[in-house]
Amino acid sequence: MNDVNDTNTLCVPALRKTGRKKETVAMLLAGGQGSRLGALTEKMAKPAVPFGGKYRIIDFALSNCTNSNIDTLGVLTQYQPLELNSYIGNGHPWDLDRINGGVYVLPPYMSAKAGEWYRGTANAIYQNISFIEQFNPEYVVILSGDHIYKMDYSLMIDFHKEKGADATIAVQQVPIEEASRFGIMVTDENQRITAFEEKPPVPTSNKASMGVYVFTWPILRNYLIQDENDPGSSNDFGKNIIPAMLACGNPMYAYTFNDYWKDVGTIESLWEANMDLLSSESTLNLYDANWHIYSRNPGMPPHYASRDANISESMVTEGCEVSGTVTNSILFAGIRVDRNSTIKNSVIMPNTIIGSGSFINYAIVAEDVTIGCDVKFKGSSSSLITVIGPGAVIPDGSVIEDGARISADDAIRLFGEVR
Amino acid sequence: MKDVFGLIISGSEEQELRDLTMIRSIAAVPIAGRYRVIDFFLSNLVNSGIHNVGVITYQNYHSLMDHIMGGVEWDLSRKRDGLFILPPMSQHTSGAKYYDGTAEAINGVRSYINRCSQNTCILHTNCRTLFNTTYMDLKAFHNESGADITVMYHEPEVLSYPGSKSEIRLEVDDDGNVTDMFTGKSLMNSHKIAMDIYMIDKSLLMQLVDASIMRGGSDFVRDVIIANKNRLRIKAFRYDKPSYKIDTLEGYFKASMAFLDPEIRRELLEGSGPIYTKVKDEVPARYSRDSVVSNSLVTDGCVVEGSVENSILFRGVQVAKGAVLKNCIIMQESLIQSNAVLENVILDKKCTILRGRRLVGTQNYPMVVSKGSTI
Repeated sequence: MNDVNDTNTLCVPALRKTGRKKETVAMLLAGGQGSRLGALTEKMAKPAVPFGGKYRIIDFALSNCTNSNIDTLGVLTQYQPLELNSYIGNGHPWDLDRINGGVYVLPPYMSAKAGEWYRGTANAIYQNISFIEQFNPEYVVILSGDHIYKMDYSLMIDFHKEKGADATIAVQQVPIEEASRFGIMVTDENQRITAFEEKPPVPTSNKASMGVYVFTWPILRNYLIQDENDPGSSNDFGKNIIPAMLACGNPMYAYTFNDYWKDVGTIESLWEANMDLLSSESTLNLYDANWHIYSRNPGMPPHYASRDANISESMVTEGCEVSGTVTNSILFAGIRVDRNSTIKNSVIMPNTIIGSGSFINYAIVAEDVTIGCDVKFKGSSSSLITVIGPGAVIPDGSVIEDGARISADDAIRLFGEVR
Repeated sequence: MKDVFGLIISGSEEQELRDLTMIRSIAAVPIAGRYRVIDFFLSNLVNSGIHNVGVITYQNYHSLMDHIMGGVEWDLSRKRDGLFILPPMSQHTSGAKYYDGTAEAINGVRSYINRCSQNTCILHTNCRTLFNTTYMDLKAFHNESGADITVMYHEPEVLSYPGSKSEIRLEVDDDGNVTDMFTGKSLMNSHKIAMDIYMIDKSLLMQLVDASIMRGGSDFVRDVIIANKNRLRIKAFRYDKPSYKIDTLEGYFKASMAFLDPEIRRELLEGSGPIYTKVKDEVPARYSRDSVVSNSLVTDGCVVEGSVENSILFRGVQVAKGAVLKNCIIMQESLIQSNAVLENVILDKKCTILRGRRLVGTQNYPMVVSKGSTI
């Protein structure tokens, strides 16, 4: 940390620090492509992917902030930001349109000397040091926009203060046999972190990092600057910042969170997390009046179930018109399900049309899709989820194989231009 | 429509909606699952490009205020113009008192009207007809005909149910001039029913209201229009698209049920533009293994475990296992416990029907249960 003072004057302009101080600023990393979601994230960043009937993945982190009394946050975008930018807008749906603070969308930008993409999670925060400094915070909370969970960050900040920590990392206790998929924290009996193992082959602890961090800002700031000056660094929190802090002996603690938490980075986990909402055993309670999950509402009429409708064990959102059979499925807003069609064990995203006589099982059908009449999804196994990408048109009578992944372009290639 | 502002008198006591208007004005009556009556009026104005709207409240306006707040949901929260909620005090130098009639209500908000930069007013003297429109045609008609006042009316071919005692009918000559207006039914044979919407220039409006108040008048139709019918050019503008009167309980019930028809629903909720309403961030509706639902509208936040037919469920209604609903309107957050049977019933907000209870009304006289009751 020799050069900290020099770099300090180099990259941080003198800012007035009066009047707008915030104890805590949250930074939400929402730039990831989510390439494992394939067609679903071809045109939008992962946090913008629809979830749970009327939400998008990012609603959980945004609502958690609001419900935790954090009213100042930056959302770092990079990959396909249009959908996300317009979705967040001025932050009104989450009560984040504030005079002091509020939500800011922070894309990469050009400066006088240089301009570049966010190279890693730490670099993304580094590039926005000036944004954070405006509020002169004590603490910075780093969040990722691709997890489904309800968490009171204020309790974690209390824990951070109580422990006198420089960094606090939220951990979830996972089955030890799965621990090798995660970044694992080894702690002493006071929850102080003694070692960090990134995807260890033989894990010595089951405390998996959730990607939720609380840092004491002046300390993090120094580490960000130091990390930026290290050409060998990949500028990542997990790979660089956390190990560096640990090596220097800064007090770091693990905050255990054992309620529902799910990373929805893959098609299977996204499908499962949606299905969790239908399960009576699910611990993710969306009906909690004290912990609303807010979203930008489409403002459509109530859904209509016709005389031919048969709906059970499902969630149905406003604007739907259902005349078919819907079982164990989630229908987002504005979907039409025509007569004699059947939807089972599936997630259907907004404004999609399902023609009559079609059969859909074990699938995620994205928004604005048109499924013709008598289309059959084989859908024989929950381990092979079929995905139809946004805007795809599947012509009448098509047969869709198990586990098929069909984007709008694939559909044209496979079935030709329809209409 | 840059030169037009809207003024809505949100209700008086003369409604025949029994318990539904006991605790709220007609403008605040819930309808079609997630809306309030006033949503239609605000949305029609906004969809016409009108961005200055004054809403004159009446006695029990808590419910209405709660709903419209700053007008954000209708895009009426603006720096310039926007939504103005106007308290129902008439202008008396010695102490405030509620207005007695619509002309008095207008007189009471003269400072708002004078301050409006727009010169033409779309005046709503009541909120008892539901329709989805924009006012461009009305404006064009008003300008072309050179009318002092244009009265909007509809003419249902068959009056399928008796209107309210206070509905206003028009007598119109062959040239489209309004020659007379009558309050009360069956006085005349006319099926031309005023929709309580008038277009009039601001300065003329204030002049006429002044003159009427000075002579002890209080009601806009009686003391402003009818009193001046020989002096003013009053034109009738016929509205041809579907409209539903909700000023009697029977009318309200029929209008509500009309929303179950996909075409009528589309016309009323999307026709000339969307109907905006307050957002409540409810979870999507949830159905259990045993739920049966047919020809019904179900709103976000509902949990359906029983059987629902020809009914409308508002936000957050719970229908427990074994409960049976037929031809019912169940308002926000009501709870129907297991094996209860309801037919032709309107439940106001937050009612609880205990296990196994049986409530049956008839189509032309639905049973109404007032807000918060437990049966």
